Amino acid sequence: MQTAIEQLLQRPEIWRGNHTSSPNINKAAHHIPTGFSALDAALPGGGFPAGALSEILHARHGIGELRLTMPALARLSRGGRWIAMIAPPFLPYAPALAAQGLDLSRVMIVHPHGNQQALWAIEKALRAGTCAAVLAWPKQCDERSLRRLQLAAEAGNSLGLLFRHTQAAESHSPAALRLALGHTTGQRLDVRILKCRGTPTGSITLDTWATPNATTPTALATTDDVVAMPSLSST
Amino acid sequence: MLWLCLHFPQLKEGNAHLLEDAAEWALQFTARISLAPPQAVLLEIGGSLHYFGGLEALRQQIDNALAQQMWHVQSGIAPTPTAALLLARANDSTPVIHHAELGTRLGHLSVNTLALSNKQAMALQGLGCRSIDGLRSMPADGLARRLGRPLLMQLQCAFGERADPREYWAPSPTFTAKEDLTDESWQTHIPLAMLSKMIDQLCQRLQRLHAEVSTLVIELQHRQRPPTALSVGVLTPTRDAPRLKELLAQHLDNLTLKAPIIAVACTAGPFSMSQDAPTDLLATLDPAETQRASWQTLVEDLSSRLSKDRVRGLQLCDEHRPEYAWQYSAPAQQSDTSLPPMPRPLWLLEQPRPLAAPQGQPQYHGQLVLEQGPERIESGWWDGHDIRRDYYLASNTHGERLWIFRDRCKAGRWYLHGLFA
Repeated sequence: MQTAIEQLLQRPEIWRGNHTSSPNINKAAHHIPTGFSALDAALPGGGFPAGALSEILHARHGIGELRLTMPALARLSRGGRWIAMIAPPFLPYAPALAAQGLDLSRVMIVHPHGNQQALWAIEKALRAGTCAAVLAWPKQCDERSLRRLQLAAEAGNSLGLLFRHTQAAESHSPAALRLALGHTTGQRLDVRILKCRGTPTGSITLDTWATPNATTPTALATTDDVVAMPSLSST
Repeated sequence: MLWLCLHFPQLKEGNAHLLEDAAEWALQFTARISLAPPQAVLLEIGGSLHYFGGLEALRQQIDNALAQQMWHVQSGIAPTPTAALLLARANDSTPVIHHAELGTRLGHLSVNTLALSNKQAMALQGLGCRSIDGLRSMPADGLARRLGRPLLMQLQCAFGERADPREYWAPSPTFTAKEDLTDESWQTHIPLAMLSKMIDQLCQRLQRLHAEVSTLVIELQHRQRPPTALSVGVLTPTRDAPRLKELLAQHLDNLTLKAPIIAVACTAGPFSMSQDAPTDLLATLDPAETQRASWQTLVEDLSSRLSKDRVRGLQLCDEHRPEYAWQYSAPAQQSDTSLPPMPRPLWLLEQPRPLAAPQGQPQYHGQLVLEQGPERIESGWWDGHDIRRDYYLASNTHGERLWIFRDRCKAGRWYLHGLFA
């Protein structure tokens, strides 16, 4: 009986939820710290899974959905590879990105024409292997496309971040990580972990706004975010 | 100096471009090539002997290469270009190496191997002069008077008695090819196949010239419409045929034809000299270099499918007005500008959006609370785009954080300009 289970577990298509470092998901075994210690603690592996697709679901723009990714992106942009933003809903504002510590010479903005082109561009960028992270705002994305993107992210060892509407939470997704963002009183960001490879899903609140306007990624990464929210005048 | 002449007896006058083709083909054996129209190409092979391992080895290689070309060709080898030409015309391929041999080897050749006009040929026949030896035995001044000085000079050049400078041919630094389709086509796979063949030719040519190219102009020609022109570009010059074909295929994929294609044309150039790094067995690949190469590949792929202005980088500008404080640029541009001390939103709206403000209280998805501000920005009176604004950081009960301003030019109206995403 015992050996039958052992044999089953040896199969490469099976990964065990509480073993993030098992060899059959070695691509995803590497994680990128988000820079928010509370979130890193809640996520298995301590950050966004590299070489995989992560979904960030939110109902409204401007609640801190991009700031959640900024410390990680700031560090990735200094590692030599690129940050691609595909089909952003607004203009990515260069002074703010620079203030968050991103190396702008490693940022690529792509405005595809229509959703089909957008999906093609996302897959291309993920698969190319030159982008450390690909942020994308596809209008629609069915499960088949998501699976393609997930495979592309694995192939290119890229962090794929898809920003989608909260409604997408109802449909199934092959993404390695799904975060649903909401807000709580006091300008804190409510992050629910809908799906991840590892620990059971849960919910935490973060203060993404507390990130100082530092330009060094190390300073961003060590910021303790669960401290009480500082007054705004300090920023 | 040792000259090899390739003589094409069947080449008609007016087909000069075929001679250029032959000259280009011959670049693999020597860089010093001279055209001798209408039917011959001269190769200076004296400088190539050592590299190719001697005269016999070189001749063997040239013969092998010629066999693949299906040309009808006669060759001659001699220390002077004119003598090589005479030998080739006489189809005497035994090489003459030394000047001393010229007298005996050329002497018995027919006078018809010289470039003669009809009148000269008639005159020589009248004189009963059939061989070059016969011609040489005549007094030089009489020969010049009767048959013209050029013939005498030709003869002197052949025997090395007169300097015979030749102008070296330089390959054209451009490429043009055009081909008609056998049938009109609404589909692109046949034109693609034809164009792929042209790209192969182009890249072979670039290989020979040790050159590279960064843009191809492809024309799809139609019967009653102006041709559809496509520009296939790469960021760093290349002669990589598969890469160019891949980009071309993407362009054609993207294309919606308005009329059937009847012909295709491909032009490229001027070429640039290639900057190849020496191929060193022991040197390892520079990782930064490969990384650069692959991001350029990605940018090329994306921009060839989506068009160039849809794939861009960001740059900071030294400017107080928020909408001018940045700009799109080519990817990988550095910018060093100081950042504004106040917080800036990650999303900017393309145009500020007017906000409803009953009783002077701005609203966006509900009542807005001003959290920080004002930050007064007044600038640009000199270029007609002047602004006088008070910026605030505002939030609403949905957790949205907004960058709004009150326009002091427009009676204090409120606008949304960015989101702190």
